[in-house]
Amino acid sequence: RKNVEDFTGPRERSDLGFVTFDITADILNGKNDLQSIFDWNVKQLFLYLSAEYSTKNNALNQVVLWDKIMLRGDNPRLFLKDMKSKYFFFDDGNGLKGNRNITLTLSWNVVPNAGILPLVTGSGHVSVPFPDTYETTKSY
Amino acid sequence: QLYYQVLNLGMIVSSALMIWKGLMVVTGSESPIVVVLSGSMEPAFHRGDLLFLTNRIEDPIRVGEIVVFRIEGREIPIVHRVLKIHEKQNGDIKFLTKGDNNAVDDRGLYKRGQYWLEKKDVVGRARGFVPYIGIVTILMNDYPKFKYAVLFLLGLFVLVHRE
Repeated sequence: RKNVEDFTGPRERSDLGFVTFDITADILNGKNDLQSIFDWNVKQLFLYLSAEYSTKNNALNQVVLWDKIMLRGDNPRLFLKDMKSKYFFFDDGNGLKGNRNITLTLSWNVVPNAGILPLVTGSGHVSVPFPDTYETTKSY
Repeated sequence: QLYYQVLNLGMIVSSALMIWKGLMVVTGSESPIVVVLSGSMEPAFHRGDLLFLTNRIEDPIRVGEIVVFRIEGREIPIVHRVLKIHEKQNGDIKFLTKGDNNAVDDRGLYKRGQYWLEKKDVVGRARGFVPYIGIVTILMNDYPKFKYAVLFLLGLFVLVHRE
């Protein structure tokens, strides 16, 4: 984890986190565990892995690290290893340093052919602690 | 007879207005139904899809949600997904959005010097949708003659229709 200038944002230094993760998931219909999520009215799923944590600056922070569109017909099982985050994990300030309680959760937005757009959070989550020091050199 | 037809028309228009205003109150949004205008949320939404919004203050803005927002000074609402939020203890929240079909987040779309969106920029959260139906509004916008034709036909229909 480094402390660098976020060139896309306000010109102050913020913490930038680097996380690599594995995802193993089986996305099922909530009502009947054995049934696939892709019923007659499900067009696609928008999956996203988000990190949630608290800092001195902000009581609640949520950052999407990775997302994926899963179309009807795709296999609703995920078995991904050593993934790097798709989006920069910038904090609003320096709240990642020494932060022991960063929770990663997988959620998805069910997009129907027509109808309600629910957001579902997967059961199971991972806590990621960040170290107390910055890394000075690391290739990403 | 004409008097009756005019009253009839008036009733229909005012009922429609009441329903629309009622929807605004129930959903808390100034614009409870919007039409998707761009392809930036494909393959989920396409141009012409209709979105149903709510904008209840009690509903907190969280990542993954599809929000419809306006950039200060611009009329056209944008429909994108929340990518990042930073919320203070007192509820003040700033957030970043991105279209599913875009490679980068929306910072480039915001006003110069604006890096985040706030609650005040939000028109509503997309809770449901119906595909294709909004194409009519887009057509009416792009082809004014079509709009007049539709209005004319509607007016004609109401006047000519016998109960």
